[in-house]
Amino acid sequence: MALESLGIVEISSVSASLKTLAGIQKEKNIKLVGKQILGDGIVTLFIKGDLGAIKRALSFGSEALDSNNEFRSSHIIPLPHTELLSKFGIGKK
Amino acid sequence: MSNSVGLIESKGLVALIEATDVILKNSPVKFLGIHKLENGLVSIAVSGNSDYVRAAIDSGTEAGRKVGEIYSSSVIDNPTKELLDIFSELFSATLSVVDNDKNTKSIFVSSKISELDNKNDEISNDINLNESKIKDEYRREKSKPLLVTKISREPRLKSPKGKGSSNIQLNPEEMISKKDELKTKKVDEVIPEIKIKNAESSGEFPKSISTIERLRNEALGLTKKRLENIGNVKIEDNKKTKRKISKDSVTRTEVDFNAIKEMNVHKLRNYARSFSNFPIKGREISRANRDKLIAFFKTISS
Repeated sequence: MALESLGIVEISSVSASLKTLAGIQKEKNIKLVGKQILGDGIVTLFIKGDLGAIKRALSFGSEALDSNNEFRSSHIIPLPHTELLSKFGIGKK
Repeated sequence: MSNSVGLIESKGLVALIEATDVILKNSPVKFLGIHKLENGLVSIAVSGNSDYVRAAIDSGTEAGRKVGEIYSSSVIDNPTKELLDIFSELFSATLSVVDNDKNTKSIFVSSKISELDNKNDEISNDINLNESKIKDEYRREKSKPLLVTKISREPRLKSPKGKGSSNIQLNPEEMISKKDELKTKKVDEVIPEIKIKNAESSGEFPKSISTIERLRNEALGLTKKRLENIGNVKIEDNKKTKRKISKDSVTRTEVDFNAIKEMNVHKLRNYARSFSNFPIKGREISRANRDKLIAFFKTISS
């Protein structure tokens, strides 16, 4: 697992984030590395894995959501900085 | 030494993480930390050389805008110590969480964190190395303008030497330098005259001024005393001539209408004041316009 990509999904409610997570986990080759619950119901999920696997996982996740209001944004960083997540207090536990 | 602080604020983490990734990868700045608000706003702070910080914040916001909502970004140049204290308070709350994670090899600026982080020697070493590097850069930058000033001083130091050599050789340059000296002498002669005039003008109306002005005049009087030895005769001469003029003005009786035509209003008023038999006086003259004044002149002459 030398070079892992990072996928970030942001959802605007907790229940929708659970739906998304269920969708994401259809893809087996990824792992959830962290979650951040900001105020205002904003939940951010962080997944790591192969670049292609993350792309598929995110598409599954967005499909699982019903309305557009729940999905805020998603992003893929192919080669994240080694200290990126630790800066935000997210990491291996 | 870090001499500016940059901030990016966004709603949600996605945009901010993208921005942070870009900054960490591309810019030599220190990551101060993140601060979360209750309503989903998150902000990061970086510090370092002001140009690097500016570039980092610009590139970070640009990258973040493509992904999510960047609320605002700003760069603060030369923050004060108080401001930095506030920063360390704001951004250390989230950093304490990060410090618990032993796998972090991150570098944080605030000295508090470096003190707390006794467990991890690598981190402190990294901090010291980075700080010393940045200090060196800062010194180099500071030293540049000093060099420039030195260069500009050199010709000044050389010029008197050149003069000395030209005195022996009797070059044409010597003539030029002598001319310059003469010019400077002339200027020196002119300056005391001006000073004398100032002193004189300050002492013209001693009774009609407030106490503050009188005190000021006393202070100026000191300078006047110093200058009296040089320009005593000149001052007296000027005063005499002024008295003569005033005497002449009082005795004026005939109106020169050709001269009046060419005068502007101010000159007309002064001219009117010089007549003792002018129908209006003082403030009334200064209020009257050109036509009125001319009318009054006609009444005098008739």
